[in-house]
Amino acid sequence: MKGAGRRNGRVWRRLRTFGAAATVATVLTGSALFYVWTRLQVVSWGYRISQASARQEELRQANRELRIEAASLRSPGRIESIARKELGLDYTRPGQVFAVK
Amino acid sequence: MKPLVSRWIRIRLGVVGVIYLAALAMVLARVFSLQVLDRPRLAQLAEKQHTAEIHLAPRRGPIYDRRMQELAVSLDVDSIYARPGEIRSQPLAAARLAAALGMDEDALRRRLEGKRPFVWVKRRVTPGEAEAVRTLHLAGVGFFKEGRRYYPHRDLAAQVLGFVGIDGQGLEAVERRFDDVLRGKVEIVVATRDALLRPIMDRGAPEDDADAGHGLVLTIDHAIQYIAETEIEAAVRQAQAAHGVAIVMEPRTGDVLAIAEAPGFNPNVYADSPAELRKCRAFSTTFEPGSTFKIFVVAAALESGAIRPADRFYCENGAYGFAGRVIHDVHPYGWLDVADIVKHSSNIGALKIADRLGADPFYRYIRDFGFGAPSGADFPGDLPGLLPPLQRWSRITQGTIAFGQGIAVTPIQITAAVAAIANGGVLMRPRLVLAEVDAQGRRVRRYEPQAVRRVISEDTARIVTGFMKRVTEKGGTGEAARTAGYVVAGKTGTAQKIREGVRGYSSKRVGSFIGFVPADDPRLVISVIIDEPKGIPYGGKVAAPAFRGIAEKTLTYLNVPPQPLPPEEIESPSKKTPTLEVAAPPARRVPEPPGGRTPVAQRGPAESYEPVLAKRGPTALGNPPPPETAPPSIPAVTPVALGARVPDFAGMSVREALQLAQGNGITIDIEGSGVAVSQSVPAGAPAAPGTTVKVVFSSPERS
Repeated sequence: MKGAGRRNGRVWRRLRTFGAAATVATVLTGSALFYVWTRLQVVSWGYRISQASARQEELRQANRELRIEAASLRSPGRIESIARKELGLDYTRPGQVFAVK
Repeated sequence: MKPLVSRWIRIRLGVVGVIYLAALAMVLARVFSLQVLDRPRLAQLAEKQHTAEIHLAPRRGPIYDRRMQELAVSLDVDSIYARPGEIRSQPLAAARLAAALGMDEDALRRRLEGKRPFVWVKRRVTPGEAEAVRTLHLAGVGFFKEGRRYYPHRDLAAQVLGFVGIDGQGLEAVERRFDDVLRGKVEIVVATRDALLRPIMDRGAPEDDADAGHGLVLTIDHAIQYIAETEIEAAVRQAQAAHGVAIVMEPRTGDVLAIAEAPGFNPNVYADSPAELRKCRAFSTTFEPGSTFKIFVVAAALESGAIRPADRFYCENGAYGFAGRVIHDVHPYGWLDVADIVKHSSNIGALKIADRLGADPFYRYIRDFGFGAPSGADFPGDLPGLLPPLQRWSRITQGTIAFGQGIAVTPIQITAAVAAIANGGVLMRPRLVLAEVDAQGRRVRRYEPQAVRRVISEDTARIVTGFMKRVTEKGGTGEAARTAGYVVAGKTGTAQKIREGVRGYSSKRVGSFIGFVPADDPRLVISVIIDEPKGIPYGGKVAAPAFRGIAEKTLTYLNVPPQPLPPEEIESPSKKTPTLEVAAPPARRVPEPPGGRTPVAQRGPAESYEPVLAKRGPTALGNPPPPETAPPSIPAVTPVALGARVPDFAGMSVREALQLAQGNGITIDIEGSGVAVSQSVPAGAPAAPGTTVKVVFSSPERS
């Protein structure tokens, strides 16, 4: 009986040691996996920022192009030409301008 | 046997253990070496391998007019480069690239076959060209983004804006002067690189336009610029002239509202125009001003007390021997007072005024008006003009400068000097830039107006203004500058051009008209200079009409209310209405020569008068005028309404009532719409100019 009790004690000690080692290994592995996951997230978000930056630049470029187009459409020469040819307008003549209070 | 075997096993295990331990020690030693001893160097190498420095090209700041209309804007476009070492077949690549880009194949092949590891194929290509090259999928050929400058209004204000070179550097005018402000800095963004060398922005995105160049807000108004350009082009075309400049300035601040030159050029394709056309001649060319300079000799002589407005000078019937030369007038004149000397632009009269003023003060006032020094407008090529130093002045130098010969000025100088008279005698530094703005449009620096100095008193400025108003009266040399609804003060000028490379004058002329409007409350100073007109070269003929065109349109654009028109210039409303009696200008208090006043061009010989100067004797020219000479008086030319009556507005439309009110110098306060049904002051009641009458309008259905 005594021999059997000593064996059981050894088994429990080994089991505790194994449990501790397994716990440490699990924590370490989990930490490593978490670290890898965060790195992957950083890379993934880095790609998304990169794409968003490129898209933002595209939109800015489009905005600048539209501003140039708008500026050229507002060109006084073009407006005068439309006013004269299409709308039949002309500069005011003397006596046509009044100060209205 | 058993213990022997067991021992041998332990020995072997020990040997293996030692080997493993040794290997582990070596690994640890290597780890120590890599992680501790060589860490800085290796970390740097790793950083280089994993990260990329992305150089974001600086975006050149825009240029706006004073109403924030874009005059120059930058866009990122593709530039195409090649790494010849990576191209499999240079001749084939050259052929395909040349076809896609419309380039010379041989020149491109030579470039690709050269020894340089990097060559530009074509810079700042159009989107279509870039797409055509992309579809070729050529190894060793790549794209790079570069800023390209666009001028959306094409040739509008081209000489003021300048243009930008292939490397993005400002080459002329504002683009060159403010290059450091507009250019911006290269922004460097660090990003991790993946196996395919794609950037991973895991360290944050680039800041929004943090290093973009600042924008500039100019004092130019694009609408006024357009008006000035249209008019100067028409004037140059009509006179078949070589060149023309028009400058519009705001006299109180010195703001340059427009600098128009004809012919112009398109800065988007500046290389297509000769260099001469791309210069801003308003700053970088000089001309002899001719008669426009007479207003400065008159202003100087009045201010110094050398003459009084009512003084009279004998103009020698058109030919005057002076310092060994004979000075001529275009038309022969006898006795003229100072106002008539300006009005009829008598060279001899101006010469005699300068002679009475004396060289020292004349030179000082010329300098004070800003001649002989750069205008200070902060513009490249701002020339000082040519004013001989006082030590080199002879008597004839002084005499000829009085009528604008022997001195050379830039258009901007003489515009600023006339603006000083319009500004009550204070010379303002011409201002071309209002502010610098950042990428978000916030003003980061303002450029305030700067008064340079007071040149003449307000009284003198007012008197000279009165003289200049007479120039545009009927019979004045600048009659063509008369602007409907506004009184103009100005001066014509016609000068011979100096022959290039030799002494003396050529047969070519410069005609000019410089003035301000409205004369009594100046809003605009306008100078028009026509270079080498064909046919009649007089400033009153070639330049004054352009002045009128610019003034009329610009004052309407600026909502400057017109002054009442003389009745004959008003379109009659449908209903006959009472008109005002317009009094003649009051008689000028000038002592008449014996025999009374005679039309200047028909006056008799000098001896028929008792000339004021002759009475003073030969030394009298430099003396102050005698006390009996009339005190300074300002010539009044604005019609003064006398005995005015309030008209009957009943039954008139708003337009008709406004026309009638303006013609009578009355302001009406409009209430309602339709036809006039009542008025606050009864018809026929006396009314001084400027009286306000409330008129109620109502639609016929309602009444």
